[in-house]
This record gives sequence, C-alpha cells and structure tokens, in this order.
Amino acid sequence: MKADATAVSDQWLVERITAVASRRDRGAFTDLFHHLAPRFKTFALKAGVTHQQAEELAQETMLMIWRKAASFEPGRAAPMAWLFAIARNKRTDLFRRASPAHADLDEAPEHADDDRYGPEEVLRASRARDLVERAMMTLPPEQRLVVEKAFLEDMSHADVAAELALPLGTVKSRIRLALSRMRDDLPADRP
Amino acid sequence: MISHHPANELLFDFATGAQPPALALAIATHLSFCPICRASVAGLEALGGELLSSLEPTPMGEGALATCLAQLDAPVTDRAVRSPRRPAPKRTPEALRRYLGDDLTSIAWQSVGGFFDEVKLPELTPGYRVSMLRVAPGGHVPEHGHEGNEFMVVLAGGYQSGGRHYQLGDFSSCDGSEEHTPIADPGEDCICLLVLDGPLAFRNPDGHRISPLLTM
Repeated sequence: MKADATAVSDQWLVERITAVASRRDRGAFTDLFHHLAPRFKTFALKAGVTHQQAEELAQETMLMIWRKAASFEPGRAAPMAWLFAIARNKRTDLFRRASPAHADLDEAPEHADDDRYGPEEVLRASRARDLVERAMMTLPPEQRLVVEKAFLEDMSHADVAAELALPLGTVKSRIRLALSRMRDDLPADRP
Repeated sequence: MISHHPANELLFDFATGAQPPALALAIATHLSFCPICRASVAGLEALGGELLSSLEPTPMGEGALATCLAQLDAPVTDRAVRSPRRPAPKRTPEALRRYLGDDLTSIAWQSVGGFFDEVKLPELTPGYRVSMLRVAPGGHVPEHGHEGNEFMVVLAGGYQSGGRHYQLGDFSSCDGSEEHTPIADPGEDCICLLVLDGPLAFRNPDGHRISPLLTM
C-alpha cells in the first residue's frame, strides 16, 4: 500500500477524528488510516522494532483512535499531540514494560474535570502549538538530536547520555534549552 | 496547594514514554493532583506531536487497512463513564486503582517494625521497589539515608522533612546525598506512595546501621 506523503492540516485531522467520534464514519477513519498508520509505523521502527512489530503498533494505535475518538477535545490540544500520546502509550504497552501508569490514564489521554477549557485555553493551546512549530524549525542540531532521540527513539535522559557518550548534565541542559524556546511562560524553577 | 513538583526531566521522560514504569507510576499519581504539571506534560506531548508529523511514512503491508477495518467492531471492555481525575479524599488515584482498589481506607496494611505500616505493590520495573506507606499522626520514619533515589507522593495527610512540608499531591525526591527523618503531621494518618531504586540505610540512635526495615 503506497504511503501518502502529503502533509495534512490540523483542521483535516480534527474533522475526521470528530466524524469518527460522532458518526462512526469509516470513510473518515480510512482517510486517517492512510495518513497516520504509515507514520505510526515509522515511529515504531525508530524505536528499533521489526517491521512486523511496527505494523502491529500502527494497527493497535489506529484501533485505539477508533475507540477513543470521543475523548478528543478540539482546541484543547493540537490533534497531533493527542495522536502522539496514543501512539506513545501503545508503544510502551506493546514493546516494553506494559507501563501501568500510562495505561491507566485511560490508554488515550484523559482530561481532569477541574481543568475544563474555555476560550482562553483554546487560544493558549493554538499559541503553544505555533511556538512549538516555530521552535522546531530553528533548533540547533545538537538540541534537535537529543529531543528526537528522546521522543522518537524511546530514550530517557540517561539513555540519550549513554548513546551519545555525553554527561547527563549536558543532555539535561540541551533538552531544557530546546524546551525553553517553546514556551513563553516558563514554569517556576524546580530542582 | 501543591508546592513540590517532579523535576523537569522526570516530567520529560514521562511524556516521551521512556520512563521506567515504577517511576512513571509516581509521576502519574502526582499528575492526578497537579494541573500545572499536567500542562507541562501536555506541552511536551505537543512537541511529540510535531515530531510525529515530521516523520516520513513507511508503507503498510497489503491488506493492512482491511485487517484494521475488520477489527473495528470487536467487543471491547471500555470504561463506560469518564471519572474525574482528581480523586476525592481517601479515593485512590486512577493510576493506583488496579493495585489498591478504589479506596485508600481498605488497604491491607502490614506493620514494619512498629514504626509504620506498608503494603508492597507487584514489581513494575526490575530494581525498583514500589509500596504504599502509612505513618500515624506525629509518627516518624526512623532516620535513614539512601543508596539510590527515593520518590514519594502524598495521598493523605502530610509530613515534614528537611525543613519542608509535604501535603496532598506533593512529590518529593531524595538521592544518596540526603538523610532524613520524615515526621507525619498531627491530626490524620499520612499515606504516601513510595518508589525506591536502591535500598534505604537505616541507623539506630548510635548511628550504627540497623538491618533494613524495607527489603528491596
């Protein structure tokens, strides 16, 4: 099956996720499958699994999207953020350690009642997404590398440090620098 | 009010999914109380989403779509009702329910040397020890150091340690450089989730090591 390499907009994704959620629309789901499954497969392969395992992850992730589509709240977060969390949870589930912490957060990310969003949150979510996108385009290569290894190759800080033969402190500060470009409101300093 | 949070790199490893499950359990438990850290994790997931959308697609096998469509109607045991994440007083946070049931008051505690009560959770990650701890009001855990890291999340009551006060939802971490004698607040039992990646080194009042109260 030929992989669809064209980019899609947030709007395109939101329309199809909500069509799946509200009307169990298989046409919309098929569109999502064609676009997302091959990317979920790449996501799995980057973590170092076989093609068969990667296909399995992509299938399982698509199934979870079908099941949990109703829990996606447009405007709360970018659709790709929601989709990333599902793929991440499935990757943990299937390939490593069956992490109960993520699995128990309802397998797809749940949202607490006490941070229900209003118009300010919607604005904040789309602004945050813009920041991330812009920051990613201008990250210095050494920062981009550690961030990509962490997210896409399933590596903790310690794993990244070991693989790149860097001090742990260097990895921490590169990640911190990368993230600081993506926020305009840094949280209070923590240890 | 939550005033003690996990370090940024702990939230980061949680968000990427690369964190050892035993530690992720402590982070998830804190998140159930803390909208600030949830927002941080959400921001990191947004970054994950960007990276995911930048990936080149890898073609799926022939018939992959058909296989997937055929499974859409398979029966699923889903939770029908979305429960609020922030647990009511004495209700177990979601991440811990599969081990402890819905209610903190129904835990089958076991006494440890008369100092405090505990119940160990099943092993989640080799080398990590995960347990629930209960200390009576005003009671203290004997002074100890750490051969590894100690992470705690307060689920009921509170405690003082190292001049800091930890209350409901607060997250604390100690490493090998620290020794402390946590003391539970008066008024109610202090219940915590405890995660260790190395043994505790307890000492008697003369400063000599005593046999481990908690085996890894």
